[in-house]
Amino acid sequence: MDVRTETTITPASVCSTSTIDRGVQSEQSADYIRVLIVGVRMYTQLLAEALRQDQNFDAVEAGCEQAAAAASNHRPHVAVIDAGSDREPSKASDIVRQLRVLHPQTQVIILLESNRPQLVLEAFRAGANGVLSRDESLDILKKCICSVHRGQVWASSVELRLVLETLRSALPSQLVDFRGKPLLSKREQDVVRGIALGMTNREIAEHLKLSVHTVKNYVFKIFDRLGVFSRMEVALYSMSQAAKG
Amino acid sequence: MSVKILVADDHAAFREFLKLFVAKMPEACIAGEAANGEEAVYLVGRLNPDLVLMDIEMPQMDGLEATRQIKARSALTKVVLLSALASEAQSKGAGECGADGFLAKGTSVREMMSILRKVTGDSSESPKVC
Repeated sequence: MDVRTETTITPASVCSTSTIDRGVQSEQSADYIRVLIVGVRMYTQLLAEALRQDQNFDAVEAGCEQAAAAASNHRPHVAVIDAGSDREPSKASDIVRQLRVLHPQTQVIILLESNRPQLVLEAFRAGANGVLSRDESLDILKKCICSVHRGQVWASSVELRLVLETLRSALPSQLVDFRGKPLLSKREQDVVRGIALGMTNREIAEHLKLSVHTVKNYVFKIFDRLGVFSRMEVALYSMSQAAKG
Repeated sequence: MSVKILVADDHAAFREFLKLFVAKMPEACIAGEAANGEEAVYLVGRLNPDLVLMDIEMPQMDGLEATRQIKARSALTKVVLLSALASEAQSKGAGECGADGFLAKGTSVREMMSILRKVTGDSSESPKVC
């Protein structure tokens, strides 16, 4: 089985997994990552300037109102949206939704002032691929950009725990298609709950009294039926169903 | 001679980006950094910077109170205050506490450099960095 699907499930291991992958990426790839930074001018200009000092990045900045136009002009691989203070949390989410529609190929990171649960959940619901504290160092931000550029989800263990706690309190009874028909069998739903709770295959197997091999088969079937490629996506899918239901 | 700047902001990443930026300027250098007003006041006494670039909104002691204390102890030290809020009240408050300049964080880096040069008496218009 793919190592990432084994390791991404555990909240505490996500950042370290991402870090390892980013290391591999920087060694293997000679291409730079085009980054669009959106937010308050002085901060975005300084951040863009700092990124441009690294040959792995090409960065441009734009104000919130110019985000879509700047994305059209520069075709960024990754957009970093600075949500600024907590006073206007919805503004960053609106920009993410806008970029998701207009430039679906652009991966999006939201920089948050705090990891208040509502802000983290809102960021992921809007379509962000990663959330990061505004106070993280430049080095961590670079790692985050590289990981998200590779198609991974970036969140700290604390932020993931917040997401999982939400899932625990609002796990859907079942995942359904647009007609309301169950997508998954009862057993597969049990496995989805285990994934959403951050359990490993072994833990799920012990909990459901199945073999690890059987659980792995269920996980593959779930990926196939939901059209996803990682356990994180299963967890987020489950969360989105919970939000709807 | 290079201008010694003390950066005071509770936002560590902002300090880091600013340091990287100033590092490229031949006419300035970072003398130190502080995460709150108390640290800023202490470091001004220790490092004797030419200029303090300080956020207003900081924990423990905000930039306004820190400016008052810095000016009381070291009147020659220039202080430029920054704020995420570009309100008139903030600008007025900055003037009343003795700051030499006020900048909203929505202004550009070029504008910031222009004000810093003005405050430190460097009339050179050549944009060496921005």
